[in-house]
Amino acid sequence: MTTIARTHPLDLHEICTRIARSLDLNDLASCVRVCHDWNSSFTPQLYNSVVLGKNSLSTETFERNMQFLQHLVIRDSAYQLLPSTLTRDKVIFNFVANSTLITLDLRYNSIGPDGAQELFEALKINSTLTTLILFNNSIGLDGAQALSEALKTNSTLTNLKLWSNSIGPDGARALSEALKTNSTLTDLDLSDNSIGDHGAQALSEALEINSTLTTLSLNSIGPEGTQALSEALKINSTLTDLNIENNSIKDDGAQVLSEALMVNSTLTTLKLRNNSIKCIGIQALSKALKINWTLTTLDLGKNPIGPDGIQALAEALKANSTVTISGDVICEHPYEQDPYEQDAYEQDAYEQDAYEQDSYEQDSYEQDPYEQDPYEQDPYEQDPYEQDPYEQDPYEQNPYFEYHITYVITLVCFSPSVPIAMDTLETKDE
Amino acid sequence: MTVILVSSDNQDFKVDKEVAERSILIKNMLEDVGESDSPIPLPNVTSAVLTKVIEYCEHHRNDPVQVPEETDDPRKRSNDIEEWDMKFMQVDQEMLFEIILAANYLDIKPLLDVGCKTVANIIKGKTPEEIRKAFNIVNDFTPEEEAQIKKENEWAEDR
Repeated sequence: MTTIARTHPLDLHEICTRIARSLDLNDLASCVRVCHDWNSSFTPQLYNSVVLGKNSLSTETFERNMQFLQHLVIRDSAYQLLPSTLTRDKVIFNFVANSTLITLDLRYNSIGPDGAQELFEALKINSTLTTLILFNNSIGLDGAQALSEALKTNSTLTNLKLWSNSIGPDGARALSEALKTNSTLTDLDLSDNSIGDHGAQALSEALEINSTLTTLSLNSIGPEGTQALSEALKINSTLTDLNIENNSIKDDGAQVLSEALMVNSTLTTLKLRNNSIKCIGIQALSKALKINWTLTTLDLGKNPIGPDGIQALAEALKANSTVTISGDVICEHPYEQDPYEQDAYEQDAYEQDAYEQDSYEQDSYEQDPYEQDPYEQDPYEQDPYEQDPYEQDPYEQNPYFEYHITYVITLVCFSPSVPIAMDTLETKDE
Repeated sequence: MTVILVSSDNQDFKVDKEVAERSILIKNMLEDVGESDSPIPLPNVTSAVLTKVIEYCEHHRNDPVQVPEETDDPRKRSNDIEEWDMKFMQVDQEMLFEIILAANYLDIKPLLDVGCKTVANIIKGKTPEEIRKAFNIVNDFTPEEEAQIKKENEWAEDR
């Protein structure tokens, strides 16, 4: 009779990792204090994913456990709390230059151009980091230039989030240069960086050459920038997701994009939320949708597309079964007061005539939608992205967004009450 | 079709092939051997543990094959254990660890997962001293070491 070798389960990495996965950080912190064995089993788990907030961690402890570190989040300006600028930058340099870090999240830390220089210098050496999140760090033009240099050497980073860093048009230009040679970056978010039309033009040039980038987010671009992007989209065959929400590409922009969509056959997601696209732009897009069968997601939320626009989209959807159009196209304040919360879907939309009683009644079209547009007054003050773009995504929370347009279009196309609905719409539009 | 499994204490267990194949180790073995009636020895598993493991596999014989899990944000994964599994895991700690080791050895991921979640649930919310009590562990740190470790890891507490 053989006896079982008395291995303690916690000595097995696989088992320990699995247990750790179900534990919170404070539980792991308790585990390492149980005894020597538990300490050696759980320390790698505890330091695998480190979140630094207000309770800072000493530089020594950090350096000692650096080999376990794969995911590091320094948030709520915890970066500022590190002893001195010099140490701070040295610490960051060490973190990034160390060989295990996979994710580095430094959102909201006001790193500034100098910290950024140090960070990107280290990025040249690093060969493990795949995701770098730098939301709201004011890295500025200097930071963007340093980053550009790093991206020319680095060959592991795939995901770069630079939302709100004041890089400006020249910063975008510098990054564009790097994009021409870099062949690893797949996801780039440059939203809220005031890159303007010039920045968009530079990026477009890069897109004509780059063949790795699949996701790009931009804003502060107008029709000219859109024109450049559209030209790039006719040539580029790798980009699958383009997010140009909260711009003012207007009807002209939508028209040039439509031309690109007739040629492009790689883009699957196009986000055009809040772009002042009216009926004419929508009609052009609808025309493109009759030809383009690659696009699967089109977000047109918060555009004053009007009843004729809806009609055009409905027509396009009859010919195109691939695309899903999402976005609350009618409701003016989707973040603040979703009319569907109180109305149609709570009761039965079809039972009572939803259109008579709901959003159309207090519809934005009656007043001037731009007069009251929250984005117009202060785009970032009320922007839900400000709070935490990943945790509070309004899209996640509002399952009705997708319904809304589908619902409207279904009604327009198939419902016997179409004439009534359309009449209502047209009256309101006048 | 049935398969004969032999525990470390030489007891034979006759189980349906479908049930035995919940263990990826056995599944691979059977694939390698092809059609064969020869018993499969499992020298790392006692009959008491094998009985429990077979009970689990019988109950879950029709479960869909587990999809590979997301590793991105492991700590967001749910700690829920379904009712039957919870009851199944109400065993003494020695048996709990034996089941985990057997699940690991036999490569039965869902059972390993349930076992680890059970252990995690025992740990959750406890102080180091409470954990020691729960698992009958002797504190082998000197007071100095303990203070040091506590201080070092304060960053991870209370969140």
